[in-house]
Amino acid sequence: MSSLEHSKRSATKSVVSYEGPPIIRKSLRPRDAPKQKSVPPPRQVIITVDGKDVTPMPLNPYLFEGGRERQISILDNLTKDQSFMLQPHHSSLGRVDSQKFQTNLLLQKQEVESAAFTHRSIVTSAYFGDDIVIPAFGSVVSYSDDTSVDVEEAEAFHEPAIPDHISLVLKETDTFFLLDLPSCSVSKDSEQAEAVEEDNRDYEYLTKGKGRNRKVLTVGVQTVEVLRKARDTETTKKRSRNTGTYVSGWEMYDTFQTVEVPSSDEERSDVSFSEEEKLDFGMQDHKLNEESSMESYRMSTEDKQLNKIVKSRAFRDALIVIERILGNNCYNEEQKRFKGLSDPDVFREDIEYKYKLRLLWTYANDNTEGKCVTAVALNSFNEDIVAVAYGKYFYNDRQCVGMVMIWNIKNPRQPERQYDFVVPVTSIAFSNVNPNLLAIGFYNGHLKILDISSPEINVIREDTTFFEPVWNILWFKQGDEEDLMASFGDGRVCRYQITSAEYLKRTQIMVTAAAEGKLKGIKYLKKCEGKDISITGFDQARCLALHPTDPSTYFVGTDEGVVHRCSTNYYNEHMDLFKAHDGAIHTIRFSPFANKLYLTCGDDFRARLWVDGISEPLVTTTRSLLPALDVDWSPENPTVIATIRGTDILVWDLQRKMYQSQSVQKSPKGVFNTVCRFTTNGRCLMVGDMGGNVYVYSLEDMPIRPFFPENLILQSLKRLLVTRPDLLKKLRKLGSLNFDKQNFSKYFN
Amino acid sequence: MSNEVEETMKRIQSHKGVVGTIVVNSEGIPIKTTLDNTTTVQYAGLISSLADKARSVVRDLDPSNDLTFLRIRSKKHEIMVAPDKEFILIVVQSPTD
Repeated sequence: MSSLEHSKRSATKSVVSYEGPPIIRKSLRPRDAPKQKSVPPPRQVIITVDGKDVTPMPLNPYLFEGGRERQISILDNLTKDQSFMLQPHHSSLGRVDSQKFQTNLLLQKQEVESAAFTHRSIVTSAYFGDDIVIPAFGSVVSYSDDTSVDVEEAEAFHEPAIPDHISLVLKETDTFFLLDLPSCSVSKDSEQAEAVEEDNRDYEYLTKGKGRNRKVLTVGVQTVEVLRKARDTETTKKRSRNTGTYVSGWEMYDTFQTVEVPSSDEERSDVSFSEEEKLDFGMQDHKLNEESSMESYRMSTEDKQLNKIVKSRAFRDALIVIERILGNNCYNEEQKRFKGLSDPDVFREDIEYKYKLRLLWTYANDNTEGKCVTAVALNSFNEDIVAVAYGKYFYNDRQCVGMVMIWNIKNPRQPERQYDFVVPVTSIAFSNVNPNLLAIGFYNGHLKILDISSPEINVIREDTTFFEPVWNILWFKQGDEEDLMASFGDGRVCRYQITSAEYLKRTQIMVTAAAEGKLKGIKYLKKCEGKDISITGFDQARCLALHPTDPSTYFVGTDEGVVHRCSTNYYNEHMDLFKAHDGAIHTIRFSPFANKLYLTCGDDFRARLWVDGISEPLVTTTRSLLPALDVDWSPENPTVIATIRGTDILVWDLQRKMYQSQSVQKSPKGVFNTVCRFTTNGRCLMVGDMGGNVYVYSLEDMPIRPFFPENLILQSLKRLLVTRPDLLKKLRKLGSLNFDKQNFSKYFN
Repeated sequence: MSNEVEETMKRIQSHKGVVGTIVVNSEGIPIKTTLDNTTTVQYAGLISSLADKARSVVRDLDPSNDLTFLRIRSKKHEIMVAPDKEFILIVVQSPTD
């Protein structure tokens, strides 16, 4: 144990001056515990200031012994051999024999009181057991010497003058022990091992062995009587409820799921609930908001619950599913017809080509009432999904607000998405690469790209620099990236690239300058122009169309009726231009079967058929007094064209006659039609009108689809142009009606 | 706040042939309905237990699966049940033809 080793002295240096007896160290050996050695009383140190005796009275440390039993002062010189002496005999390891301790203390008291010495604090430690540790009180440190003594004293004592050389002796003090925890176990080969073992044997004998049966006395002790008082408290009633639960295989599965992977979805839904709850509570707490607080009193818990449920996402999803099922139950037949599952039999005996339109359903609800349909876009990936844009048609409609609704054939009664805007919407287009991106052009020149996967308006990119209406938007793919092309009312055609930055990268690729002079194309009357200087030199760019095979060519139709043929390689200039209509052009559309053919329709009440390469119109529809607002090719029958004229929907067939339409269908509500579009599979025709309705018609009694569509078109054109042999010659020179892809293959990478 | 609820109910009711709509909370108590009281209570109680049973069937077969929708077609009506942790939405429709 530690007693065998002397501690190292710490090399603390301190200037100490004392006048006292030399240090007497007492080292007590085990088993040799003389109660007290005779100690010569130390000489008292007298300190005088101004002749007065100001020797500090010694502190009697025993006065404070009660609280100081465990204190060890750093001033006290304790080495390890003095402390922690184990008493092998009577006490067990570390146990204090308090009686003996008391006697020791008393003895000590007697001694100490006789000897007056300055001492800071008593050193008593419970570990000391029998042995008295007399602190080496020789190491008296009287600091008072340095501080309170006057300088005069030095002289009074006739001390020698301060020498030139003062030598300082530095001594290491003994180690102070601040904390020393003795070990409770002894190794077997140490000195105390025997003693400890005997001790243990004694203990066991007394507690477990035969020594248990010793004579014991029962003694009573009186305790202090504690006064008590009874006191009641009230608690809130704990409400309990019985519920039953059962454990099954999947309940355990659920528990494991939540324990291992705390699903973020649940957290999110919890958070959203609590946020809504906070909203509710916030509104109810706010006393100024009287309406809400009144309502909260009126509402029962069930209503509050209901409100919470209705707002949740799960409820909305369930609602959508239920509405779709309801729609399916009601419109089952029509949906089948739309999808082409119940086509009329091709081999039926009474076939008549009537080109009839049968109304399947109407996309309309209370919100669309009174709004004008300005554009319709079919989703590139899912032909069931249609985006309809509502805006204004007449220039005078100032109070119009814009709206975009996403309709689905599964639910013809309610739209699946509804986005409200302040500004009327003029054009929309679905992306061909990402089916959830919808580009929207507004009447005030803004352009937004929306992600329709969220029911809230989620604008991905937008551009708000221009202020003229965006008349047409197109997505086109050049290379790897898909870009946007938009035509504006100030004649600009801009190309947008979606980058990872927040804004849309925009380049102006074309501006439609006013054409002067005599243009090729249709025959038109020369306008009588005054001599005043025109303000703007740019026509409005009303519509866009991409060349079907050449990826760098596109067509722009203006509101003066001029069609510019432009290239993406040459900015701000056209390759060619010609006059297509004597008024604004609304649509340019290429035939899906014969690439070189395209239709245009315009405000001069006509729709015209052109061939790329001949600058004269081949076929013109008959006169009327209503503007032709839209025209479309049928994707199924190569020679069938649909146009809208006022409240009528006309279906034309090139192979029969073009001086009159094959069928006329009156719009059910008697409102002007604004857009018409065939569906992707060609079986149905969608027509939008100014009352906010989009009618979906199916084509009935149509001719059977031919095997060689190009031949059919060529033949029908030849027949139609019988009166124009010059055009026929030009047409023959063109050769095929389809562009040869190989010619353009160098553009495809 | 109650406008949303009314709007929702109107949306469903506007479909052809819908007889009634019931929203039941997680405890099985109908909190919103367009039918009369007796019918509502009957539907709520019977359908709740049926939805639970159906759900336990689906989950016992495969614990990672869960019931999303339940449709009961009868001669006179079709009952559509959308069960969820917080609510059960029941719509009764009679066929149009």
